[in-house]
Amino acid sequence: MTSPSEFPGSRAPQAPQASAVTPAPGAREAAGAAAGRSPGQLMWRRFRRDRTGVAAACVVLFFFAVGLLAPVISGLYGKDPYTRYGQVQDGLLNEFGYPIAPNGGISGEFWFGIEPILGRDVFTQLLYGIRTSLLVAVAVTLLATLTAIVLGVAAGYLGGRTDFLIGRTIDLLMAFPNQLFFVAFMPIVVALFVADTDETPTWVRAVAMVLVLWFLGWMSLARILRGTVLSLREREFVEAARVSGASPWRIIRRELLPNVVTPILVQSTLMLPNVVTAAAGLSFLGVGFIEPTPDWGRMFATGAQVFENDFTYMFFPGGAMVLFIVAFNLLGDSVRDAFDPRARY
Amino acid sequence: MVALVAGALLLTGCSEGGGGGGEQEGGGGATAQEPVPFAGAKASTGPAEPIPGAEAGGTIRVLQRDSYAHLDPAQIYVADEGKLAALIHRRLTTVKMDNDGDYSVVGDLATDSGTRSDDGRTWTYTLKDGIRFEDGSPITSADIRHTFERLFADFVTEGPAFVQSWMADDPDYRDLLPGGPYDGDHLPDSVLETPDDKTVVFHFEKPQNDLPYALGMPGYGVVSRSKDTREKYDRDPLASGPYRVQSFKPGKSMSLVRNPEWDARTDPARHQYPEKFEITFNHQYEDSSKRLLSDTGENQRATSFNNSVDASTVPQVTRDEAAKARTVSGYQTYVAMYAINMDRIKDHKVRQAIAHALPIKSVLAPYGGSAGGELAGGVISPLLPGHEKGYDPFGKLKKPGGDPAKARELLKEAGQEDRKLVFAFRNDDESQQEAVAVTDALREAGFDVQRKELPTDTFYDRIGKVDNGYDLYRSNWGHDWVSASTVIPPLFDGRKIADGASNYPHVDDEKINSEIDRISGIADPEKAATEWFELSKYIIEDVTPVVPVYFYKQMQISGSKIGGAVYNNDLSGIDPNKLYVKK
Amino acid sequence: MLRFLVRRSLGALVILLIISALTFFLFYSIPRDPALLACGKNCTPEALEVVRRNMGIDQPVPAQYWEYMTGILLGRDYAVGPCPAPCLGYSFVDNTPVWETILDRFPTTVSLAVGGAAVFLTVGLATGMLAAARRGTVVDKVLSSGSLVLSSMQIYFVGPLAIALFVYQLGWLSQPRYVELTEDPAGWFAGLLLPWCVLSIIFTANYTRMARSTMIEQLQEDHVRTARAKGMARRTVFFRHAWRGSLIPIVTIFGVDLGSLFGGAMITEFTFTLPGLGRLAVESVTNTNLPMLMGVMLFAATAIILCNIVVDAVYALIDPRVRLA
Repeated sequence: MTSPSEFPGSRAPQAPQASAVTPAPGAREAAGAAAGRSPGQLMWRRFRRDRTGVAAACVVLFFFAVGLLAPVISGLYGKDPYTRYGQVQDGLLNEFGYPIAPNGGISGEFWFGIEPILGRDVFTQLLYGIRTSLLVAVAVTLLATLTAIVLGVAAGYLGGRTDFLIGRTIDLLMAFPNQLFFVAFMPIVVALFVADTDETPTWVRAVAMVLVLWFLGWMSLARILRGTVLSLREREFVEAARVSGASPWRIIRRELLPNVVTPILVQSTLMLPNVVTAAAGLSFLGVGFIEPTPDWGRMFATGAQVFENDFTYMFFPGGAMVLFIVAFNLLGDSVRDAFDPRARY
Repeated sequence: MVALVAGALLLTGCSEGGGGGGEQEGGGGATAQEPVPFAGAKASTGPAEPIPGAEAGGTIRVLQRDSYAHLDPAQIYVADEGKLAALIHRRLTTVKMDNDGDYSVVGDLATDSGTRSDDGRTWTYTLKDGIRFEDGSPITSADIRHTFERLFADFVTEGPAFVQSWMADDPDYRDLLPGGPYDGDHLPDSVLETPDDKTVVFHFEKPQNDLPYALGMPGYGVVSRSKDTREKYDRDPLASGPYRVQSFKPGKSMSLVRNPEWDARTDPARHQYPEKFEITFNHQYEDSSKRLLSDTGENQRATSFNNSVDASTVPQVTRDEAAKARTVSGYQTYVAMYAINMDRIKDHKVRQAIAHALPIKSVLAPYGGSAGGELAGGVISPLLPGHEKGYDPFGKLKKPGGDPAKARELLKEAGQEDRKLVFAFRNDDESQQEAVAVTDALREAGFDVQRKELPTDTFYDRIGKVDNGYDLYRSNWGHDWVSASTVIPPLFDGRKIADGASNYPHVDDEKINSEIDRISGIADPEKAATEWFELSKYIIEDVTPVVPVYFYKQMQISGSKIGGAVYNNDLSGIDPNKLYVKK
Repeated sequence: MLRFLVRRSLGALVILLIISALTFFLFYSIPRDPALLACGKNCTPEALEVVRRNMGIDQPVPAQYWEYMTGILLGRDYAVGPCPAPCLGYSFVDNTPVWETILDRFPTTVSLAVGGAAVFLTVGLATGMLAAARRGTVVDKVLSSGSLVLSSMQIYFVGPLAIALFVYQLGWLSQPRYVELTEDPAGWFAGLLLPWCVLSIIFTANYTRMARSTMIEQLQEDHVRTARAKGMARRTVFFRHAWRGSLIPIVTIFGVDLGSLFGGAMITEFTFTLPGLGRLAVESVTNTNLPMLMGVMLFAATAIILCNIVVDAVYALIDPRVRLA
């Protein structure tokens, strides 16, 4: 996300001015020659020494694995996230729709218990919910990062009118109240895809959510890249490449891009968990995914509703999300430290 | 901080499960209802009998979910505005609940519930003395005339249409007085007669034996002729009841204060105990329930007119005897049902298959289970005379989770296995959960279900279209007064199929139509009630345009300093007129 | 300074114009008919026409936009009442002027934003500086990771828990609600205390982190090290020299945060049932109340832009090297 919003933690720490981001020190040739190792190797070595970072990376990888393997895991486990076990089998839910067994109905059969009212299996719901959320988050992050690279580098390298145009567009989008934008435009974007009377397929909702989050998600990274490229443009090695007759495309690809990898990686690592929470916030406000699509954010919000009767239900989705967000943020910090020990934030 | 929270709750929350839940009592008097009688002059004279122990004074906080869209009586139809109207607008008659819980129709502005003559074609009312609007001006027959004449104006689109249609003897009543009284035209004396300041006479083409009930609807509340501001009246009406609107910020808050011009001696049904009602809006059921259950601070002097105890709070309330004592509960007028579009599903076997397949218990589950409703076999509410307890033509009460095997069998007999079924539902949280279960069960029964989620606010507009394109949709209905004549004819009269009409299943059956005409002519309410129920049996069993799901019930909770909280069937919830603040 | 303000204001106007056009055209071309909703159950085609005309949606969208924009400058007249400039139209749902409703809701939002900001700014800066001063110690680790964990909790998750514990179970705090500051200052404070704290937890982490890192950097700057070398006390150096320099990035982020909060803190307002602009916006979305939605959108955008201008001006005040170019 770009400008901060009330969506928890949705501020990618952003540099107030382009100059605040220190470009990767020196040109890569110089760094490589000095240590006898590529910058990539150096970063990897630094990262591996950071125990917190490695642990966080493991947690994050675990979540991605869970999301990817959700169908496999539920297959082995023998349940699915759609069957209303509690409603079709007697003795699981009481007359008010809450699990009869203690601890949210946790048992050998239902590892994380069963959902109140509909009586679905919480474990598989959570697996698939994580899958949905990560899918959206990865798509938004990739799109936003790509957009930021294209527009940021273009603005920085080409300058002049292009720079002005892109800069003003960024100003304009930054002035959009982003939370309000998400909530107001989700229904509109959905309405653009489907006629009013048709069933809205899940993928349309997913696409709409990705579009809306992407639209206001790329500006801060683009600004950073613009600033970085602007200063790199005047550097000797770029100058040299230009004099030697390299095409602009080649200069961007071979000389500029490798030098902006740091901010890209750092910012996109910090962006992803923010997208997850922003999407969860959309679910809370009622414009996210709808039943029966399993959704992490919706589970989280429901958990806060039912906790007085069924604390366990809040525990798993909530705990998983907090763990994920914290791990991803720590990972982001470690990546930044590894890539660029001098960066300020 | 949060770790502490989590830990503390973990102790209480994890040690015990939800448990089996206790038996819920029926609530609201589940015995067969008698028709509500029309009372004479004596019962219509004020003041109302005092509530034992009631004290005057104090402010009651009222937590409401929905803001009031309309304050103009002519635009008031929905239940929450109706309840507000009970405090601020008076009408010719009103339904009174006495301290014993007995109901009767009494004269409100009129001296009695009406004098019937000419077989029910003529009704005469005499206004009481000492009735005034909040500005001190007396309420005269000219105001009553104006009240009814302005119902024909174009801007009045929300209120009830019964009396207007009866006057015009035509559902398209507006041609009787196009544009209303604002251009100087008036209803002819042959329809509405006001011979002097105190007398109002209604003349109808056909006998209208239910008129005293109809006139008690909040939609027929009195409007001042001299202070009528047309569209703007909706924001700033003149009160005639015991309270008046001091300030109203839509979507945020409303203050009601005592109306000094209201005279208790003229009013047999209302009280004026609290000094003030402070209403705030946007309290979701969950929020109001948790506040009132906590009974802390200002919440002790708080209640809600319309919010129910929400599904997630019900188990706690029922576990806690002290909290349970602060609740009132009973049936609401509404009956939840699923309408089957008969233009699209013509085969009766398929409709029966749907009836057998629907998991009515799962439909009710998101609304609080047994606290939110009672599973239904028929369409006539337990609040109506003639209701037969335990009527269950499809055996749904025994198999509330649905009977997919039976449904499959019926589909097979009809040769319609894998039949496509377009199922429309609202997109709010509860309806989504409900739709998950319904879709599941119908698929299990062998239907090819197409889900269409519709925006909640326009749901009824969409399904109200004759060519709506859907096969199955939820359609709830509540009676307007205690007679099945406000249920069967609007829902199942085949001659009333139109855009926006309430015949949602588009059923058009010879026998139903002729029976409706016949039973409407029966003057004895008790006999009519029995006949209506017999007709409803034919409709459900032999035609099956709808599948009854449940009778709405409501449990409401108030703070411990609120006195006089009783459930009023006519208002479908707590009676605001009887509330007081305990010292 | 004056030239700067004029230039930025003009730029802001252009941006607002574009935002208004974008949102207006998107909102008013959606396939849902708000007139049908407002017309009610006894609606006739004639009545529907009247409602459409009253709402001003019987014309093509560009014409509606033109009327809308001129209405802001000159005011308009509606069947339900007059609408003096700045007229943002009448609500489709309850026939109130949009501008009036926004003004009515704004104090709630401002109270929430300012109070919340005060909490997260003080707590964030204090913990950040403390962490920086005790860099590498247990205190540092606890503060940094604690704030991170807290900020990962969602408002709609922490809010109900906090109410259940502090209001319902322990009774330490009063029921969250909004009363006018002028009416009852103590009630205002008591009613908003919990929302402030909950709102601020998600912001605090960012300030802690930023305060910590800028502070650490400042402590390594030449002038600070010089002061320290000259024998100045650690505390004096810390409070007299180091913290000033760390203000600039914080002011930037703070301006943006505050700007977005002035537009309404939806989730917080929802969680605590506070009648602010954020709630208003969400309601307007569910009711298809287009004029209200437009109004809140423009209002919120204006708040963000104004805050940005203020931040840039403040920059110049803190750091003389920044020129307002």
